Amino acid sequence: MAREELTALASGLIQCPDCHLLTEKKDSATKTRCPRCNAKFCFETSASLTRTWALLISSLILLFPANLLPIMTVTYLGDKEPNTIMDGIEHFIQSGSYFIALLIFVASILVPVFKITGVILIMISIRKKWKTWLRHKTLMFRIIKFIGRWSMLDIFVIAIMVTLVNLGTLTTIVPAPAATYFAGVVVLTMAAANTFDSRLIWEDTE
Amino acid sequence: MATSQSNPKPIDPKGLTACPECDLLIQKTTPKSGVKGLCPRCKCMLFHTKKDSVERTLILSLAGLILFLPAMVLPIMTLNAMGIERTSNILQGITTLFQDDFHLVAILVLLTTVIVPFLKLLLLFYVSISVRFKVNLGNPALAFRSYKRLDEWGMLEVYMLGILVSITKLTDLAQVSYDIGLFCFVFLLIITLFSSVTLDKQQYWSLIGRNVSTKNG
Ligand SMILES: [Zn+2]
Ligand SMILES: [Zn+2]
Repeated sequence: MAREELTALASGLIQCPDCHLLTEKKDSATKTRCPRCNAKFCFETSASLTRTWALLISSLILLFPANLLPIMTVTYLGDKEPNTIMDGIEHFIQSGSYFIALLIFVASILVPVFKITGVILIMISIRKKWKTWLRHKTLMFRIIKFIGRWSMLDIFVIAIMVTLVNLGTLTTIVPAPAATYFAGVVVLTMAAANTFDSRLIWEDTE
Repeated sequence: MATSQSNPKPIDPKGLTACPECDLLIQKTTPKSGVKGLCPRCKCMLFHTKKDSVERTLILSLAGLILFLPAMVLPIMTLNAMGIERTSNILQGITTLFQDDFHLVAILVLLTTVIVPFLKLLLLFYVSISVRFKVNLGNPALAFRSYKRLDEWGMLEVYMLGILVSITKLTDLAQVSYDIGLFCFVFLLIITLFSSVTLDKQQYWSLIGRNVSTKNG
């Protein structure tokens, strides 16, 4: 085994999850802290995996009401029209704004689905100990962490629209229940990506 | 772990670093400024040194703090339809969501566009001051750790995209015009983005580490 392939954990060292300082791992310690930044070192990987699973499953459940229920209600001259995320995308296609339609589709539908399935795939591959495609899995996880926050786009559009389109009897826009579910999906998937430690992908590969 | 038995002799952590994403041990180097280093195994960014990181980040975070209030309270855009005028900014969007009883969504928008972006600038300013002038007031390590944790929850650039989408959506319906608040918001966004570009996290940590060790010994 080449020296370059050694991990910190395998050589009796521990890397601080926050400031990345290397220190010697103490045997007795169940809860030690980083000497530099005082972050807690957590050795219980199974507990962190359980938490990630719980967050993933909750976000998967919320994904259904978020997409099936209306996210906002447009009232035009007294006519109430509930709009789901998909309806909003259709409106943009009909008015010829294909780019915006694509943008909303990617941010609101593709990204949450990609995030949830991506992390589930990584989690299954850890459980089944599939030791292939490691670099690809790490790259996928990096992309998942990066794109997650862009799903908030639709929520911000609603926050802007409800203040601007408030024209009395002519037309108003109010948020609808899916807004809360969708916000939940974004928060839970981001939290799931945060509780997952990408070093687990590479563990025991030497 | 099976691998710990195959390597019984402990390794001295001095002169070594570990990859934050795959835990691989790597020889520490002292790179020049403006250099990037990738992990040989998983290809993640190990370090990216930056020129005058502390000074630049300090100035940018201060400028961001000054711009923060105008960007939040000045009107960003105005909608004009049949003689009715409506203006909007971030805070109004949040209060409208509260009035419509969407409390959780309102709190999330408040956190991601107001509280977290402000805290990020404030923490960065405080940490930069303490490492630049070597003042040991409070807990810069905790502050920088919080900054790192909060980082991805500040979503000003996503909000910017939301403004652009809303403008496109509303131009069919009515006349939309931009206000002074939009310029303040765009400036704040650019400053926030630049402050994370100039920030050299490794350098900050080693400077904080030096402060901690002088405090303890
Ligand atoms: Zn640390
Ligand atoms: Zn690596």
